[in-house]
Amino acid sequence: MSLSLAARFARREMRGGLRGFRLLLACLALGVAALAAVGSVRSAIEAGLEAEGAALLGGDAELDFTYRSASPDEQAWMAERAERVSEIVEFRSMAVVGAGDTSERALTQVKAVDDLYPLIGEMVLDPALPLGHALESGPEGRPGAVMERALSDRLGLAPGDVFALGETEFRLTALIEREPDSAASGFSLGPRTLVRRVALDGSGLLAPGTLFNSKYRLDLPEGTALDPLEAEAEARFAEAGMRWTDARNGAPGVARFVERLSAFLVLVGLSGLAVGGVGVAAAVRAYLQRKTAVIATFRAMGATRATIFQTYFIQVGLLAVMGVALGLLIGAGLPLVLSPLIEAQLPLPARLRFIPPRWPRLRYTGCSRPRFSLFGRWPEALTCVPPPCFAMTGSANRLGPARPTLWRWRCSWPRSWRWRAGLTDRGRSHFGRLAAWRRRWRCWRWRQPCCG
Amino acid sequence: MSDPVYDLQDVTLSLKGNAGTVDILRGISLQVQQGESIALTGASGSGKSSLLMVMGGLERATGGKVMALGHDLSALREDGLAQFRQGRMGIVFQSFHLIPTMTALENVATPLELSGAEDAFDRARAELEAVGLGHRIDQYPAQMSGGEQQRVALARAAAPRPAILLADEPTGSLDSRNGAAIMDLLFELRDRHGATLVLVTHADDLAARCDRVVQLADGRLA
Repeated sequence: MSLSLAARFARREMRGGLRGFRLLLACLALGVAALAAVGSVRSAIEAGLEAEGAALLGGDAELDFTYRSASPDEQAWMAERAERVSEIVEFRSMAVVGAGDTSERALTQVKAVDDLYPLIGEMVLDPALPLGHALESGPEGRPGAVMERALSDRLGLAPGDVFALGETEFRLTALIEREPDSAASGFSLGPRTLVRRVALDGSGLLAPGTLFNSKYRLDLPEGTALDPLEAEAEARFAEAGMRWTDARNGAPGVARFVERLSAFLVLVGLSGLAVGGVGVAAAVRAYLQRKTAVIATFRAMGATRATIFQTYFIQVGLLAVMGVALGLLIGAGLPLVLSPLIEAQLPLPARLRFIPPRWPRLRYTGCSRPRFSLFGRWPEALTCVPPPCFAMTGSANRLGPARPTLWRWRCSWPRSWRWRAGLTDRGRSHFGRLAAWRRRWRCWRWRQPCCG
Repeated sequence: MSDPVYDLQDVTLSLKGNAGTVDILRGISLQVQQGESIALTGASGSGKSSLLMVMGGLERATGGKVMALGHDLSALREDGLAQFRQGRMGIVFQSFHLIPTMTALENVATPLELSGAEDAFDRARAELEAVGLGHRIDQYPAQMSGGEQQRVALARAAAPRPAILLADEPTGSLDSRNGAAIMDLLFELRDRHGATLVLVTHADDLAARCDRVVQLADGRLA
């Protein structure tokens, strides 16, 4: 009965509008929106990574061998199971321009590819050339190469200029604008240079003992089950130093990075919420102070503390739900509105779309519950029902500030401290002392009259 | 003779402030019989409003005993006092204290709802009609004049048919014409319901309308 009555009173009280609660709504909505937006962008990136896994990897699956190429037996196994197999060799080297004292050198991550590269996706070059054409040997017999702009700028190279990798000279034909499998390549020490694998024969760069990785990308038949294939490859080649990656998690390094970045951003958002919580507590306190006369009138008419607590708890709770809902809508909708900008700026595929609030997103709003206890001033402020004499005097004490100060101080004591203090042995001891002190104070309080 | 509605025995009220302890009420002993109307009068600061608050359970006496309708108010905690007031006491304040977000009807129905009355709104409507505001039941306090607000406050106090009506200078915020009308209404309601009336007033003519006048001076019965 009491709860339904409190709900009726709360509904009537809320006719006063949101005046005084704008700050509360803004604090909650902005905090939750920030967290939800992080969740939205993260979900979009995860969806993009999942959907574009094959493109990021450059194939349906990849077998990686360190310091060696695949053996004939291994190559035969791959050829049996894949429709196409593309071989890539990656290593670090120095790109050299000129000779003698005037030569320029820069570290580069060399990627030697075959004719099938890229199996999935498209390489974008400047000037716009097909990759195969860009890597062909020119009339002077030098093989073609493409490199990232950062490296060409460092070496002062322009398309048409010559540079050397090891003993072999290459002609720069174009600059890399977009490399489809760059996200899956992971950590690299220098900007990328792409050449044909066969062009490295005689360069002296792939001799025994060279630090290089051979990657074999597989274009598998439609509907190939990756799990059993992975299990088979692991069983057969794991002892030989093979590492398996497939389209289900085409860029594991990126996925880890996104996960860590979003965790960091959530932490930043929670910090913002902590600051916002102070605003929320202040808003609730200010609202209740404005309602002092009304609460005292309720008391004079016979309302119990429970009825008054419920009346205002329902109001604050409803407003909190509104703030959280508003924040979720903003957090889910704003990235969608800004999706062209975000997608253009992200070096990763992102599929931004409106995702209705669901559990993974709602978990971020769990901050509202910790906030409810962290900023225990909410419920505590609600329990501080002013004495009914407020209705007649408009004050707790006509004699001076001594009582009101104590009364306000009592209201400002977060009840959740007790709960938190009770979490540890030391805390329990502390809590015991606090509780005893509080009991003494309350006894003193009840002996004191309220009004003159 | 039946038990008195109020039996105050040596009631004291002291306040502690920055300037030390101030004695507001000093040993008040008073009995009020069923259906009696008494006026508490005295100069400002004499303690009449404080005595009314003690009698209404709105304030706790620091000494003595306050018996109301056979209950020892000194022994009740705040919630106990609130529940005691439900349906037993109607209080009229000088500055009305209507709840601004509620209509006149809802304001009058509130004490009835608190006491669990099923027909709270029907009774509230009838009470508003009795004070001549049947046509303004959906108005909010801000849309009413001071006199109308005080009539709503009277209806709210009288709606639960309380055994005790307490009024703290109910005409203090009104002009003389409205004040006289409100007093007529207050006595009419009291007569209709047979309630015991305790009235704080500065006005001698209003006090004279009561069965008994209790004069206070410096916290004591004069």
